[in-house]
Amino acid sequence: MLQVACLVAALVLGVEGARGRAPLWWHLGVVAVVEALLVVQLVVAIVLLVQGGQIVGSTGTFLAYLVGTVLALPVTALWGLGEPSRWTLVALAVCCLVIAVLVVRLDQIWTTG
Amino acid sequence: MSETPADSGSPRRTSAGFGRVLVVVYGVFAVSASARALVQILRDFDEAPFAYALSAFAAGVYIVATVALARGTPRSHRVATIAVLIELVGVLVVGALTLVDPDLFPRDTVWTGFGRGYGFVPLVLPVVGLWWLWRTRPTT
Repeated sequence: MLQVACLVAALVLGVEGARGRAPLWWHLGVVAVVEALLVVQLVVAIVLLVQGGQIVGSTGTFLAYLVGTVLALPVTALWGLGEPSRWTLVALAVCCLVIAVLVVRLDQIWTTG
Repeated sequence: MSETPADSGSPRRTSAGFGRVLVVVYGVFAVSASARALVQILRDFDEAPFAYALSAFAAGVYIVATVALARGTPRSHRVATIAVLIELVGVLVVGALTLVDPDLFPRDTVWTGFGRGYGFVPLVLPVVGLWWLWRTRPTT
């Protein structure tokens, strides 16, 4: 489900960027919602791990992807807003796409290795 | 929220306009390639030392390219051009070698099979990078 939210955000931000929009507050709202969901994912995954959840694949890779999903958007937003333009939105859209892939990979590592 | 040089058609710095997006993509590869190389080398370097050393080398190239593109000075423009050229040669040579002689690289790297493990982005990225560096080449 989370990957769908990331893809929707990528689509919305990508279309806004393609239309030549500069970043508006509601764009950052979209980013904030996705980031909040990613933090929830991080917390849930850690709780499950602490409670003895078993990862089929590599634990190190899983944790690296998990941290990556949470850090990616804030770093991209800071970098992109250093020079606000349509490209800020495109950069955030690309970031959301990458995160969607990471979320799918997280699920794969957890369940099938 | 003003117009950037890229929007007006004559970008000067590699970090401006579309360059913001390019740096993000390069950053993603710098981070993921580094993490991958680190995990591979720490866990079982002896299993495929050549492939893992190549992973580390590729990670270094992406890091240099990311930083150089983000800095956007005339000097870093040259550094970025060299790094992106090495990246292009790397992905083509390693991509071809992995098809011709798979045993040479028993473990996957970012450049294996022209980057098929990463949706062939490693193959497209240096071409886009060189195009961007050409567009932002210093005029003086």
